[in-house]
Amino acid sequence: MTDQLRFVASILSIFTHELNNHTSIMNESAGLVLDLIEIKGNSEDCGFEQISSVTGGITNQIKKTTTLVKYLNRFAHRMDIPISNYELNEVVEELIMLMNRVLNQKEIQIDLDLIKDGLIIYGNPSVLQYVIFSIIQGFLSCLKSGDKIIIKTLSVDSNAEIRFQFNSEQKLSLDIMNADKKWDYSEYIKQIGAGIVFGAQGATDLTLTIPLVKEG
Amino acid sequence: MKVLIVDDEISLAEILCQRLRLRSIDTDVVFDGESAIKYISNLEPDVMVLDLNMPGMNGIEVLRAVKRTNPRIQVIIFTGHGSEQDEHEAKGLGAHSFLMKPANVNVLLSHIMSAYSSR
Repeated sequence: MTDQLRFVASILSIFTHELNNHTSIMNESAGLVLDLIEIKGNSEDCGFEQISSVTGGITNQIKKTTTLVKYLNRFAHRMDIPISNYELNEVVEELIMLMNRVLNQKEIQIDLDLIKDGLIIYGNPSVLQYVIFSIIQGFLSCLKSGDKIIIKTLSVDSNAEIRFQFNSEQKLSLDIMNADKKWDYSEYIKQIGAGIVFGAQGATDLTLTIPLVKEG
Repeated sequence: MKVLIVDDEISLAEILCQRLRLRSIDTDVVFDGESAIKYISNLEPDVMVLDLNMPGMNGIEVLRAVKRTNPRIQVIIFTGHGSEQDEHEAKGLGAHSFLMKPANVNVLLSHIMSAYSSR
């Protein structure tokens, strides 16, 4: 299987797990409303407050599910036109939202520090998402519960940068993380015209540099 | 009969707990494996409804620990993402049954009653 197909399959797997949880919550909530009507419907304490609270919960859950579906939809449509202008922050945020479940399962906190002004890049956003996903997978293979990943986007000269850094109680360095070749992104860095800079020996950060679209 | 629900999906676990209580089943809920182990060191539920995929200690690890320390507790695996391999492993470790989410609460209840009567 090609790397990118494995990547899309992983995202779909995470998404369907998450979606199943959301529908289970809605299913149980609707069931609880019916229970309250059937069991308490004729009593003095007919559970109106509880019914109101549960239906509010269902509405909230639908909002969460709709947001998640929007992220997946945008992720999928990025492949319609392989090469285009795209906004870096959107691409980063979308991927992180779709990976949320994996990060939560591993109890890894992720901090997104995205530059306010949008950074427009010309290229293939799906390949960039694959590279970001692979870098995060490399981090996740070594990080433990309670560790943190910080992702920052910024503009430096005529380039956009994505800085990845991890905070861990363990004494880890990027050398160890790069030993995990399950998600190899080296070939794809060239495809998106990016460069990668690793921190000094023992450092906990790496930076992906991508040329910005020139104005005018 | 006392039931303990162990699930990291807080909303789901709480709602399930309420639905069982409405059916007069004495039910408690905890949201991770470590809390489940702590709980059973003080109180012994008759039946444990246990999720598989949880941060920290996962369902299989909890099941293994329960069967070692409190073998009388009947464990129902209740998961959204279990495979046949998971089911085989869980049953090999002594799980009473293996149920996929979402499930009708009355189906879950019948598994709970069956688990309770097999004690």
